[in-house]
Amino acid sequence: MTTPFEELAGLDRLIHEPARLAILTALASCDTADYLFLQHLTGLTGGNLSSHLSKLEEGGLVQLDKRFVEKKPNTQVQITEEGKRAILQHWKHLDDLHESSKTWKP
Amino acid sequence: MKNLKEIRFIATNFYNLQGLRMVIIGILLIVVCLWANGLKYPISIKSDLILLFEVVTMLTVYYAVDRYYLRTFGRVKPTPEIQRFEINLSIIGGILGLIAFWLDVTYKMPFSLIGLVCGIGLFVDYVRFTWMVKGRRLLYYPIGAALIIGVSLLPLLGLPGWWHVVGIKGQIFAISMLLGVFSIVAGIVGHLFLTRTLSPKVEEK
Repeated sequence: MTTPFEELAGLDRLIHEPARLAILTALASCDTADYLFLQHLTGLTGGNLSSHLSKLEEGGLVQLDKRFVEKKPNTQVQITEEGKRAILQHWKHLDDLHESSKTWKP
Repeated sequence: MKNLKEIRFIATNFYNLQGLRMVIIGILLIVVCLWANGLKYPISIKSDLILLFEVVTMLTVYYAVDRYYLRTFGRVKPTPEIQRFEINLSIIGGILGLIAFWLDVTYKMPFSLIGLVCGIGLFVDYVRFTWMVKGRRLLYYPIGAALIIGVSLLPLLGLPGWWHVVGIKGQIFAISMLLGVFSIVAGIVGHLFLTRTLSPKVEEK
């Protein structure tokens, strides 16, 4: 039997950070998205977005494809299979926590 | 930080929300219908050149709009499942539209088949858009669809030749112009939604 705090602490912090959660949610709904789109979506500065993407890439949740499009640098970001599984698991975990908060009785 | 449902909606429908394209298609539809409505036989070369000029202008603007969205908001490639679904839907819609058009111009029916097909198509589009997210902002789709279906059935409901009252020669032109108006409205709403949601507000450094 886990304590309520243990259940909350079980949330994956790599995913649960708001910006990374937004990035993974967007990427799970499409095939690829580029850096510019993600920047508009999250409202993050370039540096912060790069930092979050690097962490997700290190965790094996996304893969980055840096290339040139019309002589301009363009970074395409794609969620990995592991990333898809992780975000689905995360959503399930959040839903379970939400449900358990409704049914709990002292 | 945006609502996560909204994020899913934008990422899934990113291309469809780029509404200025629909505005151009709507304007082109209206312009071509007005051109066809004002035609006098025999058709002069000047008249053909006017149509060519209008179409080329609209295609140029369409290309510019495409570039604008790409440079301002970036690229999102839909999932292969959504791509397949959209292609299949376009093929089925296109075939049904062509059959309806052929039947409309071949037989004299007390309703507009192309209008009915387009109205049902808009309902299908509404379901497709709202598959993941239900929002009041998309209610103009079923309202537009109901309006187009209603107008398509007007002759059957006792108003034959209603389009003559507004100076239009044929029912097909009237329905197409109505579709054009709907495209413009839907395009503006989609564009405003996209630009407001993806406003270039970047966090303070």
